[in-house]
Amino acid sequence: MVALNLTALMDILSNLLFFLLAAYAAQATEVEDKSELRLPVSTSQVRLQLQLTISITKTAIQVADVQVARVSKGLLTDPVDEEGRIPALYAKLTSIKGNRSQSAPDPEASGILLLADQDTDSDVVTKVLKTAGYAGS
Amino acid sequence: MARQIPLHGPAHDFAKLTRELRDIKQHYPKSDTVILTPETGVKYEVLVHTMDAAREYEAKQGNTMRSIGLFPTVVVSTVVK
Repeated sequence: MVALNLTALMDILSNLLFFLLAAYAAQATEVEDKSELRLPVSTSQVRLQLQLTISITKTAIQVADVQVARVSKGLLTDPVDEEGRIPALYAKLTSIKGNRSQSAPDPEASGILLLADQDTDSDVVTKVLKTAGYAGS
Repeated sequence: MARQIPLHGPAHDFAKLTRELRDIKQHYPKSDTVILTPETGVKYEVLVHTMDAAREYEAKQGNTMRSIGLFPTVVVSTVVK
């Protein structure tokens, strides 16, 4: 009977574990590549934190990949309310905020990660930020 | 305090913006906040480059290049008409 030499196998497994952990850490801050979203280049070295993502693509505003408003040629096509908020975005954010505070109150979970197409009009960006501010995100 | 930085060709002159902000930082060294009030029509890309220009600059100290902080905290606001 031939004895199985486990030393070499353990060595291989240790190496695999290292690469798996490294890949997982890289995925944590990876931004999904979308054809509708070309991010501008920035020199910022700030690490991204995983939190609620609002994306402003060429055609829509999305909260966690769910469309809440439409965008065309960099401008918002849906109307805003009298406070200057985007109603559907405000409703979505307040709903998420309510669910989060009920399930697991975590002060570090507040805040949003805003991804916007480089050609987005700054007017849309400020409206999204304003709406998020009103919603307490 | 109001200073205008004209376009450099078709693009914004972000290098000059950083130089101007370095000058202002010398007068207000404890301040780290800049308020951005973009006009409608300004693209998000320009906002990001403006924030980059306002955040820090590279300076040679000895034999190495170091990043010196300017105004890393940004408040995006709208013009009230």
